Amino acid sequence: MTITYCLPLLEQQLLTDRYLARVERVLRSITNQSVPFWHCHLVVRVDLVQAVSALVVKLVEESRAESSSLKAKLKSLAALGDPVTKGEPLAQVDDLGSRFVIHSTLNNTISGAAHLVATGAVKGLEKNGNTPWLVVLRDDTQLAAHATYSYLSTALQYADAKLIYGDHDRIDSFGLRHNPFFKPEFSLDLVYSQNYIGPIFAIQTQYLIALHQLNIESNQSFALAAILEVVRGVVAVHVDKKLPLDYRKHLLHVPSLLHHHELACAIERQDASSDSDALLLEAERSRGNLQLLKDHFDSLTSTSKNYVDLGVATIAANLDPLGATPVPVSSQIPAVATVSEVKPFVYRSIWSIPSDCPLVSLIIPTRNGYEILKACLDSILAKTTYTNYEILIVNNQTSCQNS
Amino acid sequence: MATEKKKPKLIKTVDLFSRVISKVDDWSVKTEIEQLDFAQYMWSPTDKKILKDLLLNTKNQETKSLFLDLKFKAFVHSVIENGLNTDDMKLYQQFKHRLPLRALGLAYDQDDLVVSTASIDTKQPIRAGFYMLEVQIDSEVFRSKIPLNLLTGKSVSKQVKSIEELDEYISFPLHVQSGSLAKRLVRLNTDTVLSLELAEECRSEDLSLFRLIKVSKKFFISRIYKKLGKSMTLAQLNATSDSQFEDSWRDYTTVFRTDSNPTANYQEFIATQEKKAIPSTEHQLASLSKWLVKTGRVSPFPKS
Repeated sequence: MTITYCLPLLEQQLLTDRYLARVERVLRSITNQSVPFWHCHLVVRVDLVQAVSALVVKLVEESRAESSSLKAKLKSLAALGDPVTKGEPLAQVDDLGSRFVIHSTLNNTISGAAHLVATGAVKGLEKNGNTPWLVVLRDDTQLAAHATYSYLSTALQYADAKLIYGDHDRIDSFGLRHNPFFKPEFSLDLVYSQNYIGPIFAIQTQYLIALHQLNIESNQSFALAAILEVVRGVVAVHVDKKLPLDYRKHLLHVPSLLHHHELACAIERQDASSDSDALLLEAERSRGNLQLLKDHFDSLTSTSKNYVDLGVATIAANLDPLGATPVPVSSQIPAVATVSEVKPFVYRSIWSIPSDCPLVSLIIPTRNGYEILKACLDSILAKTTYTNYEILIVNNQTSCQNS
Repeated sequence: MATEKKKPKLIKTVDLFSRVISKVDDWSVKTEIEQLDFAQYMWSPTDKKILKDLLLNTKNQETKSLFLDLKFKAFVHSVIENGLNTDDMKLYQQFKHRLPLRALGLAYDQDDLVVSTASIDTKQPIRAGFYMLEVQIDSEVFRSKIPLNLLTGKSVSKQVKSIEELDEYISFPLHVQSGSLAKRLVRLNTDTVLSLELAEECRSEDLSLFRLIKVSKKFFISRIYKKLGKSMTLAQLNATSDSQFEDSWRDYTTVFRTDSNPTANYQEFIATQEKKAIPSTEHQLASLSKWLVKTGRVSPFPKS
């Protein structure tokens, strides 16, 4: 069982030394993985193939010393009678070059690149009965050294896992890390609002096959499409709709910083495009994501008739997947009525109210706050359109006569 | 011969600080803490002589020009002859910046800086010791928080990757409000050149005041406690052990780091929490091996 990294190098970047240096940092982060159970497929624009190939050759040469030390560790494990480290892994570790595959392509979509790697390159793994896991990288994302280990160990421990994501931060050109983004456990509501998971995660390759049709060019859209595909897949195999569906068994969070996004330096930003062009592109991609969400809701509604389990009531506590016992309290609620864009890449989903309205309790603690309590109650009574609700006022030793 | 001539000057400078300036500092700390309405401090005959030699030396052009202000001259005379009292301290606070501290190597100001487009550095190494840094920036646009960093020569252009390096990464971050004087304590363990790192949007001309004034250790500690919101009696202040001092200094620097540079905290997290949470390579291999066997997937690689 290995993790396959797919690195598409397709965007219209000039072949500058700076760009190649950035790609080198990404590749170096792969060769520096603490465990050797990975493959890397580079899907490269035709005119970049020669330069990228030279880069890979250089890195493979350089990493020989590192692989020797890893080989020694594996040998020592084998000497202790470890069944895994006997036989072929040693040879594989020694031959780093065979773990890099370069695909030349004219197709400039991320979904196309992922599809190419997902269908072709991991066939061997499927034959062996191993679940192929794929991580689609970006040319500005460096992996933490323990990323492969974290993905693999989570995939092995949680048989139902279909998507695994970690935390991330930013890294500058000097290697200094900033702005950590520690993510919560999987929350579907949050994903519907904004893709907090980000563009990098490990996913079972089967979920990427269908995305090929979408011709997705941006990382943001590809990531959202892939996550939603997994969600639909999970809903589809959830047979008994009466039972609560806990997405966190299938979309797992590893509470560890697994990758670092590189900050584009000022000169690169200037090279790329003007600010107005960038804003237009961002708006277009955000609208693309909105369409993905709309299609997703349509798809769920059609497959699940009137009701789908959206998991909104599952406990959203940030539990450790490596030992926490999730307590799902899911409820059946109607499908989404509308979804709209609040700002680029942030959306608001408005749900239709079920016919058998559940009771909603509004609890208001108060003490000597007659004026503000009155304003609060007047507001609720005047503005609430929902019918089945109650108001519980918790009066804490009020001495005021009016209260 | 030339070296021999320089020596007494150096000794005198150290004497002035240890015997006079630090005593003024310490005395002000003492009176502040005890909140006395009136307190008095008298110089010893030796101190009095040093003060007279230095401050009333008419051959020194710098001090000579200072005493053109007769009010100031009278104040210095009075302080030397009669010592200090609580009322004098108010005057002392008012006048202390006019004392020729810079000429005596006890303070540094903008004249000690070399300003270039790339950096602002001190012309010469600053002597080890305890200092109060005072900075004012007058930028065109008002800003409530202008980040500023004072770096030791060692740490300039250095990237922090571990907690060990962080100890060496001696930087003194500070947030300055436009047009206001900002202060913080600076501790230098060795003689070092200092560099001033201004926010990107600030020009070096915006730096309207830079002063680094040597203070006594007792004054230094008292200001640390003040910043940390700890009220100390004089006895507690005097009884501060080295380890207590180090702990308090760490807390003090954390306040400024957190305030001015959240990244520094993140570097600490990386070096401590993250490092601990990631198993060693051997452990990772052993753990994967265990799970591969448990789930019936013995080989991590396909047979070619």
